[in-house]
Amino acid sequence: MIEDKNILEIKNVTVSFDGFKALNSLSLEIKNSQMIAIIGPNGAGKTTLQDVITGKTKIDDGKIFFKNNDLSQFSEHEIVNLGIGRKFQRPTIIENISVWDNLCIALNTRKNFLSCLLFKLKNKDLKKVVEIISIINLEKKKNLIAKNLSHGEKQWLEIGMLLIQQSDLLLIDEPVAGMTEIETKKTSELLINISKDRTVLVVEHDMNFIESLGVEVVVLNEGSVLTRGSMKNIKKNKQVIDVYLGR
Amino acid sequence: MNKRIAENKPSLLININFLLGDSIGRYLIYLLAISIFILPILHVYIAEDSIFHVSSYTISLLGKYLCFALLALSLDLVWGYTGILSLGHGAFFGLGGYMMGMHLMREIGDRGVYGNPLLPDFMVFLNWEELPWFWYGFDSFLFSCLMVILVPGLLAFIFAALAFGSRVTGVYFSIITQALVFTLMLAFFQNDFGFGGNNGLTDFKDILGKDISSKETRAVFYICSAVMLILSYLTCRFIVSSKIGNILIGIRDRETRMRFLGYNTTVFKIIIFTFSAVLAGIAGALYVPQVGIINPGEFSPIKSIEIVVWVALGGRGFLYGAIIGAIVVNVLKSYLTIISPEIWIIFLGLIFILVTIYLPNGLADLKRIIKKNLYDRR
Repeated sequence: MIEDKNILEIKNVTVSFDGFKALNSLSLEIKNSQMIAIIGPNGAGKTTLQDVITGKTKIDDGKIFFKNNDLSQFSEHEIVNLGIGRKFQRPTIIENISVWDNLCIALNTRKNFLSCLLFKLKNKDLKKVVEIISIINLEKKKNLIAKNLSHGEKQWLEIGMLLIQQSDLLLIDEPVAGMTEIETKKTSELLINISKDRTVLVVEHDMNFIESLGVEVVVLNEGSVLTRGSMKNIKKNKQVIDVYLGR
Repeated sequence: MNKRIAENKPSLLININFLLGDSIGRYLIYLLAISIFILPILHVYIAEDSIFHVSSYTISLLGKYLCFALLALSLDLVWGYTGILSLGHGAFFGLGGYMMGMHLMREIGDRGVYGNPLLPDFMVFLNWEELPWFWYGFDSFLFSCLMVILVPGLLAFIFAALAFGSRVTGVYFSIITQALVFTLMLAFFQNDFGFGGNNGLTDFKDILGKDISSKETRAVFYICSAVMLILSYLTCRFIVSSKIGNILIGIRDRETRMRFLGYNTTVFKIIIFTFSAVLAGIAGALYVPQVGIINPGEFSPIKSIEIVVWVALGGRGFLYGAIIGAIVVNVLKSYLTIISPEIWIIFLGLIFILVTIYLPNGLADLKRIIKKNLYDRR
């Protein structure tokens, strides 16, 4: 991978719902292997931004390129297979199967009906599952049915599912909401660890958490980018204080 | 033994449903396999006055239960595993039945009441001159068997592609399945629709040249039903214990997650729904020669809902539960309708309410409760 290449380019994207512009000619470029935090007041377009990148919401105007692919040409599951993984705000795992099985269905093997019917866990896949389980700290709970995990563990499992899917870009929505202090700290370590070889986009309200990540911050307001920069500079920015931090 | 495997070598096979299903499912299959050898012999070769004789009424009744079990199994695959509540599986069962019924009508030949060598009785009665085009080919048994698979399968495929393709899910999907089965009922009730209207297809004489009501034929029907049920059970078990099983559960519990894991969930749902409809069609085709009639009553919405009750009672998402549920409910139905037909429908409703409240996983819960009580007592 070339370091300075943009993995994601969002160009003048506009999305409106009944006349309300959720995204207003938003442009954003994100480099390879970078972690970026997105903040902004409610209704700034944080969730809509993730929806358009993953193909859940169609854009009215503008273009999104991921690894030079025009995403408007692809459907949701095809976008996933291009390498975009999404972590929802609430833990979204398959509750009634085991931790191990959750990771197995996320493996980036062929995902058509016949391949799944005849699927056998190969050695290299087995190693990968074991490796991811240790990254997300669930070794002891691998045979547990997923609904019995704690809130934090479920969030990690979901992140693990995105990792094993080998996404190059991870969209992560409020990972630490509802977590204990220790869980938050562990999550921050986990995210820093995984952003070493992939791009991570984190949406979060918890300012302390974002500071602990020590990454570049993008501030959204009214559907477009207000400013971006380090947390230190953002905190001093007059506009940001007015629309977001000050309130 | 499975527990041991689960501990040492984690694989996709560890899944609570599979573990529970395996032992009971295995016993069910053994039981069915034994019955294939014993019942037909008791029916055909034992003298009628012996207490060991199985009457033709009994063997046909049992065969009918097995057809219902197959129907319930097909529904469990889409409802129990994939979370698609079809309230219209009677549509596919009925269509499969009609396809077989059409063949049996053609086999009557000129032995009908009107003695017309070309047309079935009901067409003569309606003063039709020639055979409608959609009756062509049903003279052939093989062609009819092909239609038993193709017609319900194709209808299910188109229906599922339209519904799932436009992301119709949940209760909305259930409602349109009711509409589907109701539409079929209204259509088949029409005399000029070409399937015997209100009376349906009946008075069958032969199948493959053999008398349809002879002892031997009835024995063969039973064997066919049991073999088909065993094969279908094994196929369904194979599907749900492969990676597909977890994917289906994933679609049931969190479809968006599955989509964002890169699965085209629509295609999975269409395939499973179509496969299930084919099984239902086969069940219908096996059912018709054993009861000797198929009429639009099979398409009545209440019948399709009844299938759901069988599966709910047996426990959904276990496969074997559907089979047990179908048999238990129908045995009860056979006895209660003899005592008093009015009581039956109230009783059915009562079962459904009690099961929903006390045994959300059906009889599978009962097993757990019994086990728990045994342990507590110790």
